[in-house]
Parts: sequence; structure tokens; C-alpha cells
Amino acid sequence: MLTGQSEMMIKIRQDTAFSEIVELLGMKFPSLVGQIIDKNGNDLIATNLFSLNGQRIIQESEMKESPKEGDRLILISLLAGG
Amino acid sequence: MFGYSGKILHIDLTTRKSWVEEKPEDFFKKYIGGVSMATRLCWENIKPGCDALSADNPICIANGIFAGTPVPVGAKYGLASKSPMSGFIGDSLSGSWFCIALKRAGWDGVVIHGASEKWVNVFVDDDRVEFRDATKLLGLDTFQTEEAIREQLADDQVRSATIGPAGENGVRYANVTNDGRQAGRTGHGAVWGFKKLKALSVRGTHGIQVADPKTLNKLSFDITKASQGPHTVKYRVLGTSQNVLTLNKLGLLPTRNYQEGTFEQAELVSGEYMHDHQLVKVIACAQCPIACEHMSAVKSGEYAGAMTGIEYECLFANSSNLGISDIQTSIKMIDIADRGGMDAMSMGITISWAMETFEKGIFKKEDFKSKKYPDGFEAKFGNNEAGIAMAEMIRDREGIGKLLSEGTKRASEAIDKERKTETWKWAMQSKGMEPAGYDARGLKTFSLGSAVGTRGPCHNRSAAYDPDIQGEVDRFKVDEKRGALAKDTEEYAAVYDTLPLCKFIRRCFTGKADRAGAWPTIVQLINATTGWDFKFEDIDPIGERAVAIKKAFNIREGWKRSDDALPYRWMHDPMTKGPSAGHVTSEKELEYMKDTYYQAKGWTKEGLIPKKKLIELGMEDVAEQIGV
Repeated sequence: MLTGQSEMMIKIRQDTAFSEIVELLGMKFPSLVGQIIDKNGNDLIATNLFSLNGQRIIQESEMKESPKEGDRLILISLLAGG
Repeated sequence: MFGYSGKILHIDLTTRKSWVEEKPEDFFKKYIGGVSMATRLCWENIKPGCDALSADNPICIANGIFAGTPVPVGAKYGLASKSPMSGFIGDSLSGSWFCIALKRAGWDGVVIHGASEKWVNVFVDDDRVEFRDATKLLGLDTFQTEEAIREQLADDQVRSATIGPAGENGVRYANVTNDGRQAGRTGHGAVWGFKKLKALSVRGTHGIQVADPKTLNKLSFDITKASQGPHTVKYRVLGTSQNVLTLNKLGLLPTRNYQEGTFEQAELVSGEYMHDHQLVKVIACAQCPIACEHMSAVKSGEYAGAMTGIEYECLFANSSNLGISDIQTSIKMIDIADRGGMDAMSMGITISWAMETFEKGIFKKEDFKSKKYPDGFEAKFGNNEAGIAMAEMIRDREGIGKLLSEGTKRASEAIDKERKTETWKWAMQSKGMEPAGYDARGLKTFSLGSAVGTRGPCHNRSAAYDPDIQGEVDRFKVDEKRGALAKDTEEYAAVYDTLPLCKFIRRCFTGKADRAGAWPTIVQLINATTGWDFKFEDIDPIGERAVAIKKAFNIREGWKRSDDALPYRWMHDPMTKGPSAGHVTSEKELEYMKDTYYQAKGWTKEGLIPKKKLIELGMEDVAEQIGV
């Protein structure tokens, strides 16, 4: 809703880290900064996470690692209740 | 005593008498309020072994410690009875004005005994109790009933907890509703309906004294300010319905009676879609600065005028899980549930069982005959008309609605007996209650949390999906840590449910939702309200004691290790599509995790509570009765 699109393809260097992808998203979609991405533009606000192919969450300690060719990165916003 | 009156109001519907019980301060220090105190009152006042639908099953209400104070999201109360669904403890929470009125009337709790011969509206007017004829309220929906009572009493400050037609008709998963909020799950409305209690109304005119108003105001102001920041933005903007797309992407969105975890048309029933097309306004409970209730309406067409607050759990049960992608149908069904006063989760999941049973050829078109559909209808997944028709038939207990009003456990047992079938294999329930909208096959820790839940499988009582989804553990695997995780997340949730504070505030203390982040502020809130000298280490026992009294209640009602179970499907039928495909929680895995859970709790291998453990928690009398 903040970006107006639910999926996008991005081309990145082979060694682009997940944290750099956060920065790229923040630059492309400034509306994410402050709501999903922290004000510094380089970290996800707690409860917003990257899921790799819907199966594994990228932990804070793994943010310097890079995705592999063909990986699907899902930005998920968790909230409980209802 | 500050923050409490120290008084519990007892009301007997059979004899139409009332009396006051004064509780010592130590009682409140142990059980605080909410689900813990409500269950404790149930423990003290029920006739053990009684039928849930009998005069011996009391209705127990426990107010919140912060109700009526400035503390944000503190206007909540607990409601407990023996559940007619599980035969174990049925503990629920609701919020908003009703509990503030109760606090202002001077009551920390209410226990309603017996059963009335005639339909009654009990009116608590400060310290006066009046038994009012409720005949004219019969047939009114939950919202209409509250309004009608205010008109009858000519006072718009009177607040009521009510049942709707579903409770009057004996739908086993009927709700109790106040101020548009539901004390859902576990079938309180059926208990009230059996007792012919249409409503409990309250007018409270007294003030509430707290120990340190200055500190309480300062803390409350700071939390309120934080609650307007990024930690609650998702609740405020989209509400919990945002989970539809998130869980769909993880392969965890229950679809067509939990057969799959991905719904191909999830976008059309998402929080995002509703925000753009159906949202009318966002409202808040009393005393809440967050405002998460997204009132959504059908604006045109056959169902125009249907409008209610839509939450994720009600939504999945009445959309993806029925194969329904028309959001207007889902809103209409939830509206029928909310106005009729029944649990929209159990209703939707029972309908999904009926749809699968139809698709497997066991139910026929003619099984679905009603006044409106004399020839019946095709109860297929994705049939909007069938979904709405069944919701109405359940509320009215008309035709097959009578069977479906019993929930999946009893409905499948009846059909299997009659038709020699095995529909129980897709009856999604454990302890007689339908589960939450997180498919536990792809969440191993949550599958344990669901199995051991004292009121049945529940996302509110167990937050064990958190470590799974957040990747703290491998959500597809089982290991020795899961018992401790299930214990920690369950007791963490129980602290919030006992104060009670709405869990949506949990990140607004320091930004972190863990104990280190939240407990220091909660200690200050308790002390400023009561004048007590609670410390950080006093908070965890609040949650542990809450779970212990609920478990003790169940043990006394005959609980055994095999009752901590999962729906057959979650243990035997893997999903075939999406990121969670191929997984189940096998019997071996579940039994292993239960071992780790009981061990982490300090219970026996059979899941019983040692006397020593109960005495450590200050529950000597409970230890005497059920401790081993």
C-alpha cells in the first residue's frame, strides 16, 4: 500500500547484501522510511522482516549476506491478534 | 486498597438474590484481574464435574487492574465459565466501556450463579442489583440489545454485556458482546443463554482511586505518545487483516478448510483491498489511543448495509478458508456473526467443514434445505450464497444449522455415527474448539502451543508462532527447545491477559516486546495504581500463576495428557502447495514436544502439577486439591 505495488524485480550486483537492499528500497520508496525502514534508511523496523522464498527469515546477523540468483525476497510485516 | 474496591458481587439467578464478598489484598496480588482472576473465581464457585450448560456453572467476570484509569489499553475484563465446547476452562477477554462502568460501580468482579426461569436483564446500578424482565429484548441482535436497554433505562451511560439470537437459541459457540466488542471463543453466549441471561447492564457513578496519580498520568502520557509511532502503525493503518497477504506468502493462510496454506485470490480478501474498497472508519475501544478496529461495510448490492469491525481471524475463517474471494460476502458473514452474537472463527470453520463434507459427497444438496432454500443448495467452497445461508441457519439453528451450531467436533461425531463416515478427519478442532488462522503444520512451536492450550488451540493465549515466524527457530523442525519456548510465550501472553492490557501496546514501552522491554514499565504502572511494591521479578509469576490456575481447573474437570492434541489434518495431511508444503506435525513430534513443555513447566510427564510447584506460586489450596 505504501509503495503502490506488491511485487517488483530488481537487478543487483552479485554480492549485494540484504542490508543494501533495504537501502535501495528506502531510496526507491521514501514512504517506507519511518514506517517499515528506520529513519537512517538502512535497517528494518522491528516486526518487519525479509523472508527468503517464504521459508526462512533473514536474521539481523545475516543482513550482510547476499541472496542467490533466482531467490525471492519477501518483505513481511508481522502483527498478531484478531 | 488503591485500584481495587476489594469487592466481588455475587448474583443468584435462581433465587434472585445478591451478596457481596470481600477479598483480601493478597488475593488481588496473586490473581490481579482478567483471565487469571476470572478463572480463580470459577475455581471457587463451580460445582466440579458439572455440565457446562447447567445452573452449577457460574459466570465469572474479573475486571482489569487499569480499567477506568488513564493507562492506555487497560479497559479490559476477563470472563470465565466452564466451556460448553471443551468441558474445560473457557476464558475470554473483552474491552471498552462495560468494564469501566463496572469499576465505577465499585466491583472488581461479578459471579453469577444459578439459572433464571424467565429471560432476565440483570441491572447493576452501583451497589443495587435489579432483575429486569428481558422478554422485550428477545430476538434483538447484540448491538440493538445494548441500545434498547439504554432506552428502557433512559440513560445513555448504562453499559451492557449481552447475548444475541445465537445465544438465545443455544449456538454452542455463541459470544458475549459489549460496546461492539466480543468476549469470543469457548461459548460464553451459550452459557448465558442456558441461564436465560440476556444481558448484564451496569451504571457506575463512583470515582476510582489510585495510589500515585501523578506518576500514573506521566507514564500513561508517555505510553500514549509512543503508541502513535511506528510500533503500532500497522494496527492503525490496516489492522490485523494485514496478515492475510503476509501469511499467504509464508504458506500459512488456511484455505478451503485448512487443506492448503495459500489462497490464489488472497489479494481480494486482504486488508489492503478492504482499506481501499470497504473501509468506513477506524474506531477504538474506550481508553485506547491506538484504534485498530477497522469498520468495513458493504456499500452496494444485495448485502448493502452490512457493516462490522473486521479482524484477521474472523476474516480468514470467512474468506480463504471457505474458498470465498468476494470480500462483501465475508463482511456479510462476519456481520451476521457479530450481530447474532456468535464466534465468527468457529462459525466459519464449521461451515468450511460442511463444505468439504459436501464436496466429498457425504452431504447432499437436500441436506441444506431451509425456509429460504426449500430444495437446499450446493454447499461448495467458493459459493457465496451458501456461506451466508449457513451463517443465518446456524444463528437460527434452522435445518442443518442446528447440527453446525454444535461446532466441528460434535457435528462430525454426529454425522460419522449416522452415516458411517470419517468426517472427523477434517473436523478442525482440538479440545472441541476450532483453531486459529495460522496453519500450524508450518509452525512447529505453535503446533505445540496450540495443543497444550488450556482453552483449546489459540493464537491469543499462545504466542508461540512468534519464534517460528520470526525465524528464531526453524519453523519446519522440532527440537528440545520448543517446550521452553511454548512455555515462555504462553506465560508472556498470560501476563497481558491477566492485567489485562491489550497486547497491541507491547512494543510501546521501549520498542521491544520482550520481558526486558515491557516488564519495568508494567511494574511502575502496577505500583502507581495500587501502591504495592512489585518488582521486575514479580511479573513473570503473574503469567505462570494464570496458566496454573487454568490448568488446575482443567485437571479437576478430568483433563488427561491425550487431551493436549492437534486436529487430525495437522498431523497427517501435508499441504501440497506453497512454502509450507509437505509438512505435518507427526504424533511422535507432538509427543516429544509435549514432554519438553511439561518438563519446562516443572510438571510431571503426564502433565500434572506437583504440589510443590503450586505452593511456590502461593496456591496452597489448589495444591491440596489437584497437586501431585
